[in-house]
Amino acid sequence: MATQKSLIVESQQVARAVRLIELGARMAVLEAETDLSHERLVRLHREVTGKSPSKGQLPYSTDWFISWQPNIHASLFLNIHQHLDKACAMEGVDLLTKAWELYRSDVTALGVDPMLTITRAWRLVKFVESDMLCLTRCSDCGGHFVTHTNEWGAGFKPFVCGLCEPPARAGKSRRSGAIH
Amino acid sequence: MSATSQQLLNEIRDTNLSFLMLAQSMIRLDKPQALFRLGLSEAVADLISQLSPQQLVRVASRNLMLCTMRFDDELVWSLLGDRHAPGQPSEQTADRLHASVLMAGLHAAMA
Repeated sequence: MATQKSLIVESQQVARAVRLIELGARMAVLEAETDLSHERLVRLHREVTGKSPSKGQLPYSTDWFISWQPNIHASLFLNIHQHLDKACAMEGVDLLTKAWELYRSDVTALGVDPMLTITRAWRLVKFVESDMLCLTRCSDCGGHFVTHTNEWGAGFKPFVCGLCEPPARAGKSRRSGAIH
Repeated sequence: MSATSQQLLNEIRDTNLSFLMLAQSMIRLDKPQALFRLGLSEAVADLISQLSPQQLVRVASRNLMLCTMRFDDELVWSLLGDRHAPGQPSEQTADRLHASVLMAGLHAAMA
């Protein structure tokens, strides 16, 4: 009885996986966020994108989110994610895709490439859940930015974000789609 | 009442009606995204999405604006106007992204 799989639940899972694949999610995200088997996910991936999923390890580092440009992208995404999380009740995967789509539409409207891929965004949410990264309030502008947890507690110098005090070389990239 | 102030009142009603209609179609299309873009709570969004066309017109026909300036924050406005760092040339995406981060954070605090 309990072993019988619900067809409705399964079709919802497939729809979710297709959505994630369309947004460019890597296999690790799909495997963690759906109950579908590896083989089915690979087949879905081929059907949706026409090629096999890229292999290899996911980037695993909290430091990427701290460097200047990624930090702005990550902070924007996480602020949107937390807002949606408070505004309405959704499952984790749907929250991730909705927040990421809002982030993407916001940066592309400004002519900036969405540097934070959905896979990175998923990683970021996991890092926040495991208390390795968090949002810290900038003492200058009052905005909330991604930082390592416990790095800017009481007794340390106040946190100032990378936009209020940009590092010397920040924004000098001539590449189009970068932040200037 | 003078012609211009009557005209202003008509424009307020028109704006109210377009605002409500836009809000309603946004909420019906994709509620979570509409909550973020409109800055509304889920309860209010549900009420607005259920209004009939007649109700919309009645609600819009007031002399008060139904939508207000969303961000009561000087810094956000100066960033949106590209005036946070006056020395730099305009077209700075950093300032506009800064404003985006602040705006997303501000309604996170309200929600």
